[in-house]
This record gives sequence, C-alpha cells and structure tokens, in this order.
Amino acid sequence: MLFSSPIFLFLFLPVLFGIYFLADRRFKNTILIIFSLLFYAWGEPVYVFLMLASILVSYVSARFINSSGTEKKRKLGLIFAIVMHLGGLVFFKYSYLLVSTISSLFHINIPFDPIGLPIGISFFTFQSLSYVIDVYRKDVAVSKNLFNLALYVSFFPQLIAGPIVRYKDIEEQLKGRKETVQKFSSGVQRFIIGLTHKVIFANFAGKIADSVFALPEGDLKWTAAWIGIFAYALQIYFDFAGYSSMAIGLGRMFGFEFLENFNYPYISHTITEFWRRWHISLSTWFRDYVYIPLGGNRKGTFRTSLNQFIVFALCGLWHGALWSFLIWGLYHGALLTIERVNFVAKLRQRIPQVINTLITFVLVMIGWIIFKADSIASVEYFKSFVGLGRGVETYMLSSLDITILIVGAIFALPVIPYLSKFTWFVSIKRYARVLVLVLLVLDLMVLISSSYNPFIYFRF
Amino acid sequence: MRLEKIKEWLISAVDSFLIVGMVIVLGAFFIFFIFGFGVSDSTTENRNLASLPTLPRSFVELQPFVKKYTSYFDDHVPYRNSVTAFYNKSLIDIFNVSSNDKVLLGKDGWLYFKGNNKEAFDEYQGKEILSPDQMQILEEYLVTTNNKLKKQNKQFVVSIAPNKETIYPEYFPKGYARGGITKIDQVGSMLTENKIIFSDLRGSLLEAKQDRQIYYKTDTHWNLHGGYIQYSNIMKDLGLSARPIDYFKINNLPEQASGELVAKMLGRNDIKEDWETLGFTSATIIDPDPQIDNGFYSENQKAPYKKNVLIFGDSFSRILTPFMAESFQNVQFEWSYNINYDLIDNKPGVVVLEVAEGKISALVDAISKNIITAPIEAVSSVENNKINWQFDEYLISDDLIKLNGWAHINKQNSENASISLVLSSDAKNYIVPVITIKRHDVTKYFNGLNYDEAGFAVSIPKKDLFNGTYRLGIQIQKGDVTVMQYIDKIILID
Repeated sequence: MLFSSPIFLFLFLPVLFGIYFLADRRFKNTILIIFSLLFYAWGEPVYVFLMLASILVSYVSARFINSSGTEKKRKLGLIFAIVMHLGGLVFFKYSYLLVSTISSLFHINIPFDPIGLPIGISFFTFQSLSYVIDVYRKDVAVSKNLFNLALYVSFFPQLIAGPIVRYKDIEEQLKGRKETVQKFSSGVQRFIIGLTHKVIFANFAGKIADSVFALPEGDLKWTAAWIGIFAYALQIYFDFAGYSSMAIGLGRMFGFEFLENFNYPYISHTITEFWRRWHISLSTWFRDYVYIPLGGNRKGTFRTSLNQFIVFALCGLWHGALWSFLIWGLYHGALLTIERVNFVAKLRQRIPQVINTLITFVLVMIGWIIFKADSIASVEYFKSFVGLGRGVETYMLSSLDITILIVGAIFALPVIPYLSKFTWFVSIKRYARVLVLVLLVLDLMVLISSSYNPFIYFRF
Repeated sequence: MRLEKIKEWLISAVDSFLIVGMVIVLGAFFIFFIFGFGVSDSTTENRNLASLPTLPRSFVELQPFVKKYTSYFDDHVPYRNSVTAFYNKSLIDIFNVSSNDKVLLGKDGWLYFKGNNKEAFDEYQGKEILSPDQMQILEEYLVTTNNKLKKQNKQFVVSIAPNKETIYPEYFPKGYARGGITKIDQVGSMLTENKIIFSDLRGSLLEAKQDRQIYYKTDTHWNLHGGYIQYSNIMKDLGLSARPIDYFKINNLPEQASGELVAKMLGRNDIKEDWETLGFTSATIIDPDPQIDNGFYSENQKAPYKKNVLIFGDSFSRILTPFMAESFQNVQFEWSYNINYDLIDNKPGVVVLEVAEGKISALVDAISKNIITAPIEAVSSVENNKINWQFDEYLISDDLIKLNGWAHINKQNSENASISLVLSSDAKNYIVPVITIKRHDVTKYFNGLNYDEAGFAVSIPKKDLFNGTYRLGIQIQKGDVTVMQYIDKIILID
C-alpha cells in the first residue's frame, strides 16, 4: 500500500485513526502492529511472514547476545543475525543478478527464475541489523518485549521507504509516548507537505523525465537532455523526501518522532556534503555499521578511499539489483575520493560557494543519468547531455512543465528555513499553516483523477 | 498579556482546525464510500470499471484479491467523475494543457489524439514508418486479395481515412512538422504501383475544408461532410455516381455533443460542439447486436446499384456505411481488417477495406497474425532461462497453431532482436521464425527499456510437423547472444 493511494487515505487511515484514538493506551501498540502488518500484507500477503521471521531472528539473537556471558557467544549471536538478515536480503534481492552474472561469465546454464522482491526488505533488514548490532555493542538495551521490537521493525510509516530508524531513537517512544494536539497537527502539516511533494512535484516532474528518457538517448538535443535529467533530479528528490516527510508526519500523529532524512541536498557545496544531506538515515547507517568498522579514515589515505569505495558500492547495490546502481555507487565513491585530494580541495575553496554548489549539482545530475538509465543508454544520454548527441529529438515544455520545474526548484532549496529567520514570516506561518489543507484538497484531486484511465479504439 | 493569550488561543485553534480539517476531508470520503454516496458505476472512460472481487477462499487467492479490491476502490472513490472533470477543466483553464497524455490541445479548441502509446505523432512526423518487412507483408496480402476478389467478380477498394492532423495541421501547437514520408504515403504508393484502387482522400478533404469544417474539433473522426467525401471518392474510383450531398439533408445540431477526445479522454461532457446527423435515408439499417461494435448491415430496395457491398474497416466505416447504403442494395460492414471470404459470394459487387491512417500498423498486425509460417528442422537448443514473455493469443485448433504475444531477453531491450519459436520433441526439433509486431504498449508497461520490437505472431500448420509431443520454447537472438527458454506449454501433434 502506498501513502499516496486512495485506499490508504480514504480507508486505511480513517479506520486506523478511529480505532487507535478510541482504544485504551494498553492496546495502542498492538493496534499499530496489526495495522502495520495489514499495511504490508496488502501488497505482500506472503512476504509478511518473511518480515515476521526477520523480527523473530532479531529478537532471539539480541536476547541471546544479551544473555551470553562470553564474547565468543555474543559474537556467535551477532554472526547468526547478520547471516540470517543479509542472507535473506541477498537471496530475495540479489540472487538473480548473481546467478545470471555467473551464467554469463562462465557460459553455463543455471536454471533460475527471478524471485519476487519483498517490498521494503532493504529497509526492514537494515533496521533489524542496526538493532542487533547496537545490542551487541551495548549501545542499546535489549528489548524484552517482542511486541515493541515488532512495532519498531514493522511500523507502517517507515516500513517500505524509510527513514531507517534506529531502535535507540524510538525505544522510549515505543514504551510510552504522548499524542498531543500540537504533535498531531504538526504531523498533519508534515504529511500533507510530503504528499504534495510526491503527488504534485515528483509525479509531474516524473512525467517530464519519462517523456525525455523515452526518446532515443543518443538522438537528444542537449537542451532536452538537461531538461530530462533536471526533471528526474527533482522527481527522485521529491519522491524520496516526500515519502520520508509523510512517514515523519504519520509518526508524529501517533506520537513518534523520527529523525530527518533529507536536508535540502541540492544546495550542497561538495559531494561529501551531499551525502550528509541526502537520505541521511541510509548514509549514517553505512557510516556507523560499515565505514567505521572498516577503519573509516583512521588508516591512511589509501584505506580511506578503499573504504569509501566499498561503502558506496554497497550503497549503490542497496538501491537495486542492477549493475548500473553499482556503477552509480562507485561513481560517487570516486567523486568523494577526488574531493579528498589536496589540490582539488584547495582549488574548490577558492571558487565561490555558488559555483561549488552548481558543480556539485551537475555531478549529482550525471550520477542520476547512470541511476535512471541502463549502462549503455546512460553513455548515449551523457553524450547528448554534453552536446555530442545527434541532437534531433527535442522536448517541448508546456506551461505546466515550466511551472513544476520552477516551483519545484524553488522548494528544493531551503526557502522556508531562510524565510523563517524573519519574525514577520514566522508570525504569518503560525496561522497560515492552515492553508496546507488547500494543498491536501489539491493533492486528493490530482490523486483521484490519476485513476482516470480511458481508452480509445477500445476494440483494438 | 492578554494579546499573548489571544495569540496562544489562535495558534491552538489553528492546530485544532488542521486536525479537524484533515479528519473531515479523509473521513468524508470514507463515510461516503461506506454508504455509497457519490459512488458511481458509470464512467465516461471507454472501459469497464473494476468490479467488486469476491472474498478469497484460500491464501493463494489473497494477493489477486488485494489487487482487484485496490482497483475496485480506485475506480469507486466517491465523486470520482466530478473530481476528475473539475481537475481536467482546471488544467485546461489554468495551464492550457491536457490532463491526458493521449490528447493534445491544439489551437482554437481543436483536440488531437496522440495515440494510446503516443505513436500517432511519431507517425505524423515521419519518425515511425512501415519497415520493408511490414510493407512486404501488406503488399503480398493486398495484391493477393485484389486478385482473389477479381476472380470472384468483385471490385476491391482500399480507402484510408486520414488522421485529423493530416488535414488540419494548422491548429497544431508549434513544433510538430509533418515528416517527408508517412505511412499513408508508403501505402498509397504501393497500392498505385500494384494497380489496386486506392481512394486517396487527402486532396478532396484539403479542398473541402476551405468551404466548411469537415472534422469534429473534439473527436478523432470527421463529421458527415467529411464522411461524404470518402463515400463520393469511393464511388468515383469505382466509376459510379454518388448521390449528391443535398440528398442526405445533413442536419447541423448546434452545441449538441462532445466528441470522444473530451468526453472519454478528458471526462468533460461540458465542452460541446455542433454535431451532424443524416436528415434523410431510404435504407434500413439492421444492427444484430447493438451492444457490441461488430458492425451492421443495410437493405435498400430503392438503391440505384443492385450490387452487394462488403466493408471491412474500423470506426470510420460507421460513418461511411449509411452513405453507401443509399447507393447499393445491400451493404454489410464488418468491424475487422481481416477480409472474411466466407461472406463473399461470386456475384458482381464491391469490397471496401477502410483503414484509419492511425491504424495502418494495426492492419499490418492483423495480417501478420494470420501468416502461415513453415517450421524449419533444427538441432535442439540449449535452454538458459533468460526470457520474459507473454502470450496474448494461444490457439491450438485442429489444423493450426496460432500464437501471438511478446518476448524479450530479461533486462535487455528488444532492439535488433530476432524471435523464433522452438518446438522440441524426442524425435524432432523445429525452429519457427515469427513475424515481428510493434509493441509500444510493452515498452510503456515496463517503463524502462525499449521493447517496441518484442511483439511476435506466428501461425504454424500442424501438418508441417512430425507427430509427437512437443515442448514449446522461445528463442531470441540479439547480436552474438542467443537465449532460449522452454515455457510451460505442451503441444500434441497426432
């Protein structure tokens, strides 16, 4: 089930609100677990058992680690959890890629059908892993309550698209939290803003990007190539950040507070900064559970670069089982390594910040070409992007496209935080936030209309 | 102090208002849905809305149920039709853009159909023309048909109804230029070369539009004055006299109807335009099944020509047939591009193949699906399971194996890919080359790689195969790579 779907907004959410807020405090977590499982099962009736197994593995192994007296046993518990979680992730997400690659490389025929990917497996696996590792590191107390852990892993707002929440961040909230009018209202605002990001900006920018990417990549005129990838940059940002906002908003409505996941990444001056602002919960996860254990930047320049490459290769593959994602990850790893070179770092310090931001944004856009297209198509697209394509295909922007790209670009920048420095704006915002209800009506109108799917010449 | 309290109260009121507002908006849809307020089973879309699925009886049925129920819910959101119409109107009024990717807003209220997969404009711009293979298929079919019908005392006419943009390009937004050669040019030249009667309407339509409007602004079709031009041209090409236009007493009903481009595609019934109806007819039109668009026939004892006319065609033939019915004793319209010889007798008469310009590819596909292919004996192929496929038609009759669908190598586009079917038994192995069918819809569905060439059609006579039990497989060659996969189909030849 998606947040931006009529069935979630008009059926799931009203029923959940009704039951949750009428129920006694003792039952609230159970209600959220039941509805979270229902939310997941709506898309994946079978794989809900996989998620339950993931919860159980985390619960059992964390308890084992906690109760074990020796380091050896604790490590054994940790290894068991890691093998089980990563084993599940590799099997469901990467097995087909691995088998087909081996088949191609060694010219052997391995009969293997693609396995359906359980929605959100990357998210709930990473959440489960972080919990067990934190218990092992004694950063967090073990959860003796299976239901609290089940809610932590399966809580529907962050279940299928993040943010990747750490157990220690919501441990207290799972045990006891207070839903207030202010929190709920703030959640409503955040949810509607996220919904607008998704339904208006991401979806309309996505239409532009899809139209451009549907044209032969090597035939694009450079203007069309830039429009296409700029639209895609907006689409992927508003899609992802919008979904995170909706998750944060929904969490607040039920009394939870999740950490921010996006912080205006496109104003970054460097790629390093970009990764501090983009999908923060994922980059911090890789930092804490992969990069630092590998030695981080403490073992010299070569090892630092190697560690970065490993982390970004994994980060790329985390996004999907395609080699293009791996290349995208390595591309970012390479950019980070180049940024650490003294000469480059010094040179960029001399450049005005706005130019650095533009350079970073263009580098990120080039990355999105790799991310969006397959490897051959991205080479052709890149040629068009730098003006070396055949240049025959153009894209005509409509007034709606122009509006979406301009307004989208403005809201991808920290306009609201900037204006919030002024007291007059803060005063207006306090009351004007009620206008988000207008956005809600607009979002719903677009959402309902998107199911309108007529056919002409139906008989053919 | 008091001001502070008022401020606090206001802020708290805003918080409450936000919560109440959201609860009311979402709750209203929930309550309306439960009690059926504003939930409609009818739609202006040219499709059936999803029906309410029955509850699953087993766990296996759960996933299909969930999908079907979600579709049902999406289609039955309260006030969906009204919300959609308002949204579409707002987009047109504010941004002058269509809410539907398949419709282009032209100047002065003229709407154009881009095609279900936006192929119409590629065709108009000459970016997509018929391939040599497609031209050969079409030529062989039309030449054979012409020769066959000649032997049966029939005159054969091919009439292509030009797309609106071919006749009215001046209302297009800037940036769409007609290509040098389009499909209609290709087919026209081929017909002329083969001395098949081609009723080329473009000149007459371009001339006629100087005097009056001949296509509807909000529809893909022409009006009755446009339809009359097709009728009169066919008559002229047959060497016969057409009834004069005044004979039909065409009525012009002001602001009467909404064409399918606004009513169906944009859900707007409020945009009306003048509509034309026939004021006089002496023929009797009989539609055996008005619920289904299979076609209809007419009888007219007062008709000047006692010949029988068979029209094979599409929606444009619905307009053509009543005109023809005033000139011929019996006119039968079959909504199909396949010439059905069972309907054709040996008496003198006329067979018309009418095709909308935008449907020339559909005509080629319809022909391709009936082409008989001879299997070639081959050595058995090695399976390597890398194919994504689907059959749209899987028909095993007493004498024929008829299959069509699409297939591509997993995660690879279908450009320059050559598809074959594999039939493998203990004793024999056959490779059967297939006819390639353009499948823009497959590309659109997967929304990633180009699968336009993934379509295939094949008809294999059973008599060409050695007796045995055959496993069916698909083989695709792309560059140096050949992949093959058996599928879960067994064919028995005995």
